[in-house]
Amino acid sequence: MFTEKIVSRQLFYLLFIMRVTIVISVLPVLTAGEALQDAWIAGAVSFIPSAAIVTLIGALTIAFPGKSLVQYSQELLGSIAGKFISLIYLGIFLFMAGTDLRIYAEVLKTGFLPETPISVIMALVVFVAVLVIFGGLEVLGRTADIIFPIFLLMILGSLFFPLIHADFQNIQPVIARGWSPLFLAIVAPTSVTAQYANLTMLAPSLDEQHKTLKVALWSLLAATFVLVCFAVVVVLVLGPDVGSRAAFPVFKMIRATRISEFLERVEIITIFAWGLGLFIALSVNLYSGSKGLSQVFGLQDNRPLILPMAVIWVVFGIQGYRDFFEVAQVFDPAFFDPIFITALLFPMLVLWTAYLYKRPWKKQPRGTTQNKG
Amino acid sequence: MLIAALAIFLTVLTVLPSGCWDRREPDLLGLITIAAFDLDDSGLIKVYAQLANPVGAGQQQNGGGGGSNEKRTSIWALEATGHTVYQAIKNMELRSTRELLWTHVEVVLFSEKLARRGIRPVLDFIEREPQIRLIARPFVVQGEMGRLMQAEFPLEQFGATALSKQIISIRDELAYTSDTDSVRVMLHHLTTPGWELDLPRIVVLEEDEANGNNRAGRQNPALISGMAVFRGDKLVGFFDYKETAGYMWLRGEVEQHVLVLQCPDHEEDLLTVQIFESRVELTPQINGDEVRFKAAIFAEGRIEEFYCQDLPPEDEFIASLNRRLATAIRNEAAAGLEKGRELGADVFGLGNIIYRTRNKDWQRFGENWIEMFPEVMVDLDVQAVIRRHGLNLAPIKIR
Repeated sequence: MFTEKIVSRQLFYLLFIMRVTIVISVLPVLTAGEALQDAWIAGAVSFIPSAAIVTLIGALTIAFPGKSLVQYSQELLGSIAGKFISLIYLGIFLFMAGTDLRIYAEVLKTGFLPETPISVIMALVVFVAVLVIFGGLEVLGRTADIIFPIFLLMILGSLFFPLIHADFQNIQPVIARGWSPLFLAIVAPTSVTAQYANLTMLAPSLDEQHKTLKVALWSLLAATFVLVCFAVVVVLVLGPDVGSRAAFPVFKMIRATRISEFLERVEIITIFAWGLGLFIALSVNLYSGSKGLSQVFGLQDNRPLILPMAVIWVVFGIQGYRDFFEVAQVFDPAFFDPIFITALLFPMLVLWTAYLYKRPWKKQPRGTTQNKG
Repeated sequence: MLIAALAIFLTVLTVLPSGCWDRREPDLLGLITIAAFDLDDSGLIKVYAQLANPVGAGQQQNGGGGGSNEKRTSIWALEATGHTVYQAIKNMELRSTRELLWTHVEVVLFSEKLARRGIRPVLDFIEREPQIRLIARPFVVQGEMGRLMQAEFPLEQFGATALSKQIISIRDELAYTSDTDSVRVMLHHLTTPGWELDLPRIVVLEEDEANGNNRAGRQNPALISGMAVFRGDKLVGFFDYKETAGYMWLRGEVEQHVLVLQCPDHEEDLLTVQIFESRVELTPQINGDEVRFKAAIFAEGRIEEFYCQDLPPEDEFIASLNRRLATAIRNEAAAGLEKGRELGADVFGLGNIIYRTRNKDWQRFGENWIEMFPEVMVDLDVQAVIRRHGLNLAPIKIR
């Protein structure tokens, strides 16, 4: 059977775009928690727990070259338990895709298309993702190749245009209230690391699979840098209070930007970048979800599952949340995030334990020693 | 078969663009350029809107409008009341032939009456409702709002363009109005600790006042001068133009400014200095519960007019001119500070400096800052330098 391959560069693009999209949508370091002008510090510090989670996920995929989570979990735990563990991750893919979709649809509905039914907005966005996944992972990789430069350019535009309004005094005082307000703000971006669960399904198709972890960590570092930049610029332009009260702080900032008397209303670049990023995020999740499910049921091909899954997603996006108040709670660091992180880490810890128990003496990848016992 | 169906579906999709529920035909829309908020006599919120009138604007461009004798103006003003801002703007639709579109609002006006009661309801509407942007320029209007909304401006087609251009050119030339130039800045000041809000003031001139002796063409009904000072979201008073200049010196926002001085040798003669550069350094000096500030103002200027008898290029004479300039600046700054103390409003952001740089102290007395501010001493240290003297050195000597 023909095997689809993507290269490290494309994996980097996919992961980077997915993570940055969340940053430019809700900027959780600022809106969740009480970090205010110190949000950028929370963003920078969030790299450490996020990198730990990525390492946990990435190192295991390297240990089983050519095998996805569904396959190696069955190898480690046996058929039934392995499939059960895989289903948790498949659930995470569904949940993330549905939530991303709902957030994007909500911003379009709130800001631009108040009368268009939300199901239409969602269905159209998902439809594009379906098309690309029908094309396969290679098509998705090449799409990322094309989208990345455009995406990066628009991100830089969203970052630099508002700088003309920057007031650097807004960043002061730095850590005046101690570190405790920062902790909650660190939790939110850490839970968004769940996107890297996609590594477990993408890695087997990577051309040089031993580079998976390195690529993932580099993408995380780059995305964290972007996160810190946005956290700084939003505070410089809007001020900590106005920024943290916004449903979509970056969007609010760019709408408040007047570059000159004849150049204003530049938010299209942010929305465009966001749309492209969401398309990539949805496609990757759809790929991982359908691929994973097809492996759980032992199907040859994941394509028959794509359309039905897409429909389920749109339904989940609509029915999963009663209203936008509930969507906003996804980033509530005190309640929701810990549950989510547990769902992400529990299968990994089980798999690591099984892995170390079965063959702890050979091919032990980096970062595993702390999991002993 | 499937591919054919898909092709048909995609073709149909292009004909039915995804935004069709929210499509807006331009000829069904009325573009609002000024939004004004007032209170009516019964305390309801009264909203005014000035629309760009395409019929009138087209007529003006075509030089009188193809035979029609009836003159149509390029603007149309309408008003409505409601218990809330949104209700009022929707009530406005009852009298409009077109759907009102607020996305192009360039100027936001608050009446003095509303501002004294508090502008929070309007701000919530602006921040929450996606149409009006935070780039709109805010003003407080002293005088009859209705007259300003219906006024036609000389040189400009629309009121919003006129007011925007007017404040931009004033800010370029003089320090006589506030530097708050967008709703974004306004929201930021309202939420920043130790920093009260100020907004540019528009005084609506009466018909006769505006016309003056000059009968050539219609007159500008809006005088932009001074600023409105708030405590929280409530207006507490106004700075006149001189006090405003003092505020601008202390904020370091003076871009260009004009000062008239008396000649050192002959005090009846005057000279005019144009300021073209300035900066300020405010340093808090906190000793226990006593707070002082040191304000080091630096300004550079050039002589634009010189009515004195002689301009000797000697150090002593130039130094004497510089001292006079420094005194004039100090007087403006002191006047601004005094008015700020009188109104009990820290528009200078002195509290904010403590909040930012001496946060431990701020935690101690930040809550009482409003009461403390009028007692805070500010030591003014002004350094002013006249750098240039224009095209002439010595003034004209008449036989």
